[in-house]
Amino acid sequence: MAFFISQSLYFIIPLLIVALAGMFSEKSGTVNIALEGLMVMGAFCGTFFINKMQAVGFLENAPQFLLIIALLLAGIGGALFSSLLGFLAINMRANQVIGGTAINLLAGALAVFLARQFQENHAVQISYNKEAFRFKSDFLADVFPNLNYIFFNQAYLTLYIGIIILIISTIVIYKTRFGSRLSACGEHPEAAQSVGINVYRYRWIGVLFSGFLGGIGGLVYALPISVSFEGTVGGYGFLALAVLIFGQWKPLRVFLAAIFFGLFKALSVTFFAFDWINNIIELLPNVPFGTIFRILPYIATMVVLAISSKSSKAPKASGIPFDFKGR
Amino acid sequence: MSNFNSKIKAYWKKIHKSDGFSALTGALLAIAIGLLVGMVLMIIINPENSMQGIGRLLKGMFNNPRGGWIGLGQMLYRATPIIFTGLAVAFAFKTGLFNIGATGQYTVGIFAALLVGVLGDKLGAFQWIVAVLAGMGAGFIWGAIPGIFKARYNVHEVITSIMFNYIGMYLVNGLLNSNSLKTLVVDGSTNRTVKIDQTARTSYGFFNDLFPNSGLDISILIAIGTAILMYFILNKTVFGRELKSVGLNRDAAKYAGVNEKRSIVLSMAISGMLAGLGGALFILAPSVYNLGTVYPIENVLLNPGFDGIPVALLASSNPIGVIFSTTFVSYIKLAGNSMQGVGFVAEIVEIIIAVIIYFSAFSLIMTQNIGNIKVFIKKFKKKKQKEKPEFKGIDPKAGEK
Repeated sequence: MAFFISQSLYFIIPLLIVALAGMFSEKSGTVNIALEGLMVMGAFCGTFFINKMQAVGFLENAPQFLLIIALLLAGIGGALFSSLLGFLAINMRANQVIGGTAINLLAGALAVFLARQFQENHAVQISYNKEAFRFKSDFLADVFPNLNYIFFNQAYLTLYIGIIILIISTIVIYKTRFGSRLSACGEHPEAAQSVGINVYRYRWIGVLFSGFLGGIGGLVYALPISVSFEGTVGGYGFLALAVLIFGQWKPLRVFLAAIFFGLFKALSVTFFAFDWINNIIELLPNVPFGTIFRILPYIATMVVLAISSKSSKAPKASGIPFDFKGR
Repeated sequence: MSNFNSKIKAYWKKIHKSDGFSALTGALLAIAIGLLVGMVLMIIINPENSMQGIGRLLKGMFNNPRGGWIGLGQMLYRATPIIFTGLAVAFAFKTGLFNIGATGQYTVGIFAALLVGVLGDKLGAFQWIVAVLAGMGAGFIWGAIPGIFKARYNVHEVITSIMFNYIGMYLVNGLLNSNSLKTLVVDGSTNRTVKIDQTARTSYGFFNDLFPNSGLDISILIAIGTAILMYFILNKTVFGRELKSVGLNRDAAKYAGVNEKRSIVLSMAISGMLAGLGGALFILAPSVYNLGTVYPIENVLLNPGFDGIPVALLASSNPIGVIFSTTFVSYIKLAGNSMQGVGFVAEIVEIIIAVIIYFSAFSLIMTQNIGNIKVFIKKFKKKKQKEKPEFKGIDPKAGEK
């Protein structure tokens, strides 16, 4: 069970961060199809930095500090990249789907191109040592071995960063003036403009924040699941978009949606670790359980959506360019 | 004579003002900017070989060692599946839907056609056509699902299509690996599907004489025919107009008597059917040197489904335009491989395509606004004329200098 929860956190946390990234952009009125590309860019910046620094032994004794710097770089990379979307969607009032698609294409191509250009042997893979970042702490190991395994032994710092991002996002959206104004720009920009809010500025902040979180999410996703980054995040940006819609653009519901999807996703790779599932599989040798467990997260999400999504809570002006005519 | 001139002028004005014209000039402008960015990038990273590299980039299909003519055949062969997925995405766009699920529909199309093509020996001469129809049917169903979810349960089509991409891929791979099918359709040593029966493969038609061993078959003609048919349906039939009206304004269409739920489901289903047809024709292709095409059983979403999105966008979702945009993208993709020979990473081509798509979003706006700028200049001139009546007699064109 501890193994299962520990695995599912590797899926839940990046989905949560990237879906929240999408939320900031869509709340402000810009549809962000580019989450996938922002993740790729963030993961590239982060892993490339870790790769180079681990090679020269920089901060060898303080791996968590190195990880924080890498996460910040990933975020900055994502934010810079998202400015391409911001310029197109906000200033040029162009089609946001086209812009997002272009950024996804560009990020994938650029990550592979840069990796091959700046690595020996033109290798696409950027390898890194993830074990250096694992906590491997014995805290509470005697009293609660399972809690220790999940939160202190196998965990990465990224788990806590994800939770901090969730808390901050919730407070920012619901409890601050900035959050209400941001939502106003996505719901009714003309009304926001009429009371003196600079819609362009808020939309820019929304997109840049989205890029920052998306970049961080990319590295958070790439780090625990592999030993190298190969220029793709396997469609997770699109899954995060689905989680965002599933979560109805609300931070806590997005968290629940990420947990829901992440648990099923983890089940598809760890179902053999459960004795009772193994017993069922032995009883029914002709049933293709592997396929069923792989499909389950997607089917379950669709079923829940079909039941719950009669009234969509999407920001009303999301995807509609705002044209300030100075009235 | 002056009558003739004015007719040409009127005709020119009509073309010039049309959406199609601004879409075309916009796309051409975007392509020019994209190529320019690519060239600058190449000069920066490797100035010594840059001229050679740029030459190879522009040569595209002419890089083929067997000559540009064979290169043309190869280019069209590679473009064919993407024309179909591009048409699928474009058709959905035209009806106000974003079909990001073309890759799933393409995959189930491959699967259905594959089953008929390998197991349907008894069909004889009908094996090919049944395989094609099976692929279309599978795509139709897979596309209809997101439509049903949108019409009935109000779930956004993007999320359903994404989910059903994965469901389709895992389901197809799972079925291929299942006990009943594995021994029949999978080659265990390579983990790929076995080749399609010779009788079920698409005919080369006259293309094998025209472009020997380039892989091109009559699928390209089907692709072009489908594009023309889709253009006709969307623009010249009541059915197509209804589908488009739902995309423009769902409530208004409903008020005007269109069954908007049925239209949404049908739009997505037709879009899926096009992607499924692309998958079917891909797997049924006799391929280069008649080796046949196979489907690798890997848990990865297939690329042609996603490649349809940029080509549809570059063509402004015009079905006829998709043929040209796909051909162009295939042209410079062929350059990528041979650019590696002079020390350039092939991904430069992907970067160029991405830049082109990015600027196509811009240029669409720029070209649409050219008209506005002209109106503005005219107004400005009129104001000047009113202020200074003594200039009235002078040819207004003189002011343009």
